[in-house]
Amino acid sequence: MTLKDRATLKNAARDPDSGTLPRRQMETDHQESTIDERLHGRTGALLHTEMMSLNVGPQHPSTHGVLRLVVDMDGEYVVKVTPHMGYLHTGFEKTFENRTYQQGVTYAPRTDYLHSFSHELSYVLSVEKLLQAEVPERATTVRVILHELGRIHSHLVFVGTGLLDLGALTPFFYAFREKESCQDLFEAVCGYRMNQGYFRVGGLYRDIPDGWPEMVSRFLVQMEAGVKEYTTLFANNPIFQDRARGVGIIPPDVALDLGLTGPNLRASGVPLDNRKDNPYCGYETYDFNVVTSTDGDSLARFNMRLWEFGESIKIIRQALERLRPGPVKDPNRKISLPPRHELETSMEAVIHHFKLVTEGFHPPVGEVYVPTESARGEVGYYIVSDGGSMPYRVKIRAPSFVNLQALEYACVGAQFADLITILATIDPVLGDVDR
Amino acid sequence: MDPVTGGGDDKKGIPEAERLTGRGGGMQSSQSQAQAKPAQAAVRADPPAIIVTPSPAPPVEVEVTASGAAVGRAPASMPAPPADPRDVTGLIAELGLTEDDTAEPTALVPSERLREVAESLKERGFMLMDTVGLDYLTYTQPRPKRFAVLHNIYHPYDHRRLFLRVWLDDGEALDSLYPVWKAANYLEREVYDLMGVEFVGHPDLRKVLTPDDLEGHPLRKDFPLGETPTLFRDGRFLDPAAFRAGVTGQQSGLTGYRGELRRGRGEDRLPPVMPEGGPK
Repeated sequence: MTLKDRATLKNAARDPDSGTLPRRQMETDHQESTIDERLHGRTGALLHTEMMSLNVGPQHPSTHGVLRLVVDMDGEYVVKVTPHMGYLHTGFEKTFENRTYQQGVTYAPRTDYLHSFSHELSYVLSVEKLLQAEVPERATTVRVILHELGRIHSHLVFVGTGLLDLGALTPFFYAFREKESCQDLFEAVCGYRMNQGYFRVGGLYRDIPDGWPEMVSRFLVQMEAGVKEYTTLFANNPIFQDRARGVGIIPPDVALDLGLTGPNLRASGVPLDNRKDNPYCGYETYDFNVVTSTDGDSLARFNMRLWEFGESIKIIRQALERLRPGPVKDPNRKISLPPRHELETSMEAVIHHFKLVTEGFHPPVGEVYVPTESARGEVGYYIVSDGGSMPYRVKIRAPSFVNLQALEYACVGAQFADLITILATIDPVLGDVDR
Repeated sequence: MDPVTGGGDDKKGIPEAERLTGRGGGMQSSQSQAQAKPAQAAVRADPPAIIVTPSPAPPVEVEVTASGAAVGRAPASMPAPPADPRDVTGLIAELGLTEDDTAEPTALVPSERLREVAESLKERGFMLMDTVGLDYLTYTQPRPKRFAVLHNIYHPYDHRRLFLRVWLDDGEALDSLYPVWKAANYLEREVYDLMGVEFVGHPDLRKVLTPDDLEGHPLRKDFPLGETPTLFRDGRFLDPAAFRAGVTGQQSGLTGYRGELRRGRGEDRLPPVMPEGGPK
């Protein structure tokens, strides 16, 4: 049986005239409710069955971490979802206030552990804006490469575990094959496979190793073949399409009202991408497209990630061509540590080294915010400086936290299995939610 | 189901009310399309159409050409520099607010005007990106009041960003922006939880990140940090000093672990002995 025959059969089964009940008739009834009704659980139910509360999580494989959901159900249909977060809350924002600016780089990647480079980059960009630091060209280019590799890494986990939630085991192995190669690149550059902490205020921790650009090029070739495989195997899979199409539709006006950003917003048709709209790290000089879809359903959100692989690969290829030898740290000794060999000959270097390690630098008084685009949406660090060597206040704009609000909207009227689909395609990272 | 309104991807065919309520999405359109034209069913199985936003020319180039054109002409006829489309100074004046002197474009909003200002910004198409709670208790510079709440407002199409700053004293409540933007739900709950600012008109003002039995608001500057005994719900009690003493091996501590193996000294290290009655 060809795909076409299968699709025809499937649609015939949905036809009300063919004698079968159209699928999700119940759901369309629920969808007439307004956003207010959805968020407060006041939806008109067709069947007056007894309401049931179902607890999902916090230890549940398909909640992507420790998210607890209390789901009010009317038969098989979700009436209200109440997420309970905070199981991973470790008070990063308070910790930042008691660490020097340079030490903060250790904490930033631990929030969103799948796209760590986004938080790291956002943090150092904010501090650099405070300090007016000059980042060398090479450091910026390496940052762009790693930022995009991090996006690919995060989307690979999305493809793998997202479909694992839906019961498909194979994608996990396919996507994690590429994910491991991607992590090899991270390990080569800074020694860590996760929570890298490779960026520094004013540049990078150290230069990339010899042969690393070639490793990246080889990975990109592997990745391109991988994306083709994912598209044929998973995105075009009729079983997956049937579970994802039309499920959890978020219209653009609702998405903006709920503060959605990133691929979830672009899947609803709003072409908002900080790489294009608020360029940082020289993204305005790269040639890439912002991919959007108008469907706003789970399938669109899934496809959005697959299409973004291609755009990231394009950006990395251009960045690799621009990579020229040069320094990777701001030459200002008040910001960057002096090279090790200088400590043996220069007293001044020793003093700078001592001051930076024991106390750190003192940015001027001020408040800054630099928006960046992570794999999940807008990441920004609002940093308040009082002139001391530690930030006075750091507020993380975590995209997963805000995006999670869409769950309460999108799940109403869906079946319980669709809730898993919607949660998987909204793609929250609980470290990012709880911080 | 109306086959006229469920016209594929063309959202213009859907009445406004249906778009607002989230109807007329992909599911229904694919059904109605299948009813109308079953021959196209296989086409719908493909991924939906990609809309690619073309890369706009970098703004740097525009400036270069503008100044290049101005070189040939007399300086008197030089056109005024084009206004930055992201500049919000005009918008702040239009709203009748004063601008703060921070690096980010910030407007000072009196707390009683916040809701009204937010509503007029929402009408202009702005969205709420973030809400920041700030405690200036130990700040080195004088500040008008102890707390500030900043709303990070952003326009998703013309990319203007504006921060609304409201100064608050301890115990002073603030109008919730939930009736204006639904995004304020979690954001205000977080500020309430960590900073202790109350929002009037928020339908569900509960803790969101810290445990239910934690008293106080951790991001306040007077929240004690470390060395505080932590009381858990059923009377369990963690004394940091005793805990640390247990880890360093000075006392038996909470766990009974004496830390000998970790400390690794030579003569006073005893061989591990199983306590009576098995491991605790």
